[in-house]
Amino acid sequence: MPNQNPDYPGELTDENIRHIFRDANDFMARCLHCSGQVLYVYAIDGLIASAYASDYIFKPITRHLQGEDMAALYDHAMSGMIYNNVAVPCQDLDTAAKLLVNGFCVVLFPGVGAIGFEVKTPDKRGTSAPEVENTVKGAKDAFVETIRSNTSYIRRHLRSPDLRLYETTVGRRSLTNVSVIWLEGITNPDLVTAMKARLDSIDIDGFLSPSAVEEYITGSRTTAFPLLQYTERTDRFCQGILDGRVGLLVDGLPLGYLAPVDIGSLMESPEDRSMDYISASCIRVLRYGALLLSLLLPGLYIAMTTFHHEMLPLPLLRAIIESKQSVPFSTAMEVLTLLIAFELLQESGLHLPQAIGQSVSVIGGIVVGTAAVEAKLISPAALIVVSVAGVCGFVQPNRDLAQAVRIWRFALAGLGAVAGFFGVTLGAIALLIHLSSLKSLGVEYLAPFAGGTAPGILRKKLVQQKWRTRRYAGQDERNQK
Amino acid sequence: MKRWLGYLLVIAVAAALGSKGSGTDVGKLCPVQVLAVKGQGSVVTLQTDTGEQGTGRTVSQAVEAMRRTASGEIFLDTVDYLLLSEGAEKWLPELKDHLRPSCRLYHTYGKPDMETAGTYLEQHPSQVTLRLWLAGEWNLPKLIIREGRMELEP
Repeated sequence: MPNQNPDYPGELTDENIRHIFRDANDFMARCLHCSGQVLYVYAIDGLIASAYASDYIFKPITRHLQGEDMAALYDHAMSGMIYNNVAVPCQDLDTAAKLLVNGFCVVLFPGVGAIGFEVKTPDKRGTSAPEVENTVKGAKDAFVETIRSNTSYIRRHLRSPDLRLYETTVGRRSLTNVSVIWLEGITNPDLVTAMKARLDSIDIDGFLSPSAVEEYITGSRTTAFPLLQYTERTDRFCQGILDGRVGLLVDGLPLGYLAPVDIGSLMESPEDRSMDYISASCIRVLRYGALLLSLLLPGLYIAMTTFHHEMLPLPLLRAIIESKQSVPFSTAMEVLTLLIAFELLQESGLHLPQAIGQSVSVIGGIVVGTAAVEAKLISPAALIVVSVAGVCGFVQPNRDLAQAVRIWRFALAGLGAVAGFFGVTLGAIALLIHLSSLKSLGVEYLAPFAGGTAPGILRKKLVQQKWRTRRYAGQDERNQK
Repeated sequence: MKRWLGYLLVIAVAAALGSKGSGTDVGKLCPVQVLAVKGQGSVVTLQTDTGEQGTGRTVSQAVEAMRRTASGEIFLDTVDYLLLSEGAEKWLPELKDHLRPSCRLYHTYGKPDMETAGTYLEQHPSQVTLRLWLAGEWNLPKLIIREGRMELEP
């Protein structure tokens, strides 16, 4: 269970507040005289807008705030004499400290209490077009790092008053603001409760990275497959909420998370809803085919060229044999080495600036690849197989899913090298067992392919989508009349 | 983690037990497209378009002899055309254990150029396959070699 005790116990006094922020040079403290009393004002430079603080805190205090004693001053300040739209009363040191680090200006009325006035700086990154989930048509607003901006984007897409936001703080040191978002009357309340319970059970220092969010929310399952779906698109996030899923926003991450997740939702692309249903269905079929190719092709190629030559048509067999002339390595060694080289190229491309990354990809992929083939170190057939598998991996709309497939591709290739089709089949069965054991917030990972119903690979006409998916057990199943 | 290691161990053991040895890398194969069969008395001689030759009292012995002298792994599963010299039909029941039933049969008269025979036969496929012939005796098309040129008589 997380620590329920306040991080900063003690009396709400000027000394204690200054003690908490000692040696912090961006901490600002001022004392103001008002009706013969001394008030203290605290803020953190950079988190507040100085002009707002001057206009909406200091000016009203010095010009308008009056009262016969400290308690009267406090009451007048709370009742609007200090005009600020957000005034949070606080009676303990812990709350005051946390208001300060969240862009509030805290005014201390010694002996009575304190009030936090919101004067957050408006400096933040403006929205930009999605970089990973880009579409030709469709909305161009992507999430940013500021949680409040993100909730406003969601409100603009989903103007329903039934939209609910549960806000909490996670991380003892990072004090990261996290929001759980759902639609009252649509989302299954059990999903919301489960999500809240998982957030409340997290007790760590920092909740800053996407992996921290994903691992803690999903319970650190031993799987490479994603159990939370991320999206940088606000419209996709809202569609997920409308489908009856629970959303999660984390301050500092330009992403929205959706749960539960299953293999069907991971294979959907935002592009699917921005084109006609026939094209979208064809592309979805292609995407599933690419998933299988990406996963199985290297393993099948190794199996066929090592154990099951009779399965290859003679012209193809001849072409492969010809391409293997003078290559000193076995097919299994070739393919596994190329798979590793492919991963290395991908990693190097990720960690370099975009312009250099592209050059590295060109040099690594084309120049080194061609040179290796010409030097008879690898055969063109193996290079083509690994390239096709790699390209098919990039077809997957979810990077986390593609990542998991990359790992299993290695395993299947290894099993194909050891035991041919028998090994690949064994690996595929193991993968199927693994996938069917996974659950995301209680929803089966392979739910779209279970229950005796036709798998929803094709995109239906929108007019035929009268019901929400039953996988999420939403309250209102009717989608349209 | 322990459970995962257990899974991996089970899969590795099952794969190792189920594997057909270490396999043969495709780079080492000598795939045969055309196979000529000559019978002289009780001896059979096999000759491939890859230049290998083997003789024996049975087809298996001839294949084994061919394997011993070949520069790679002789691969007979890819034989498409079977050229039989006169009287070689009697070896067909034995050959069926080494060849695909869909390979096409020809009677040859003369000595064909094995290296170029495949290209010619691709354009002039025989209607009689090994499976058909074994099911009932068929008349085989005649592949006649005149001055080094092949000619097919149905």
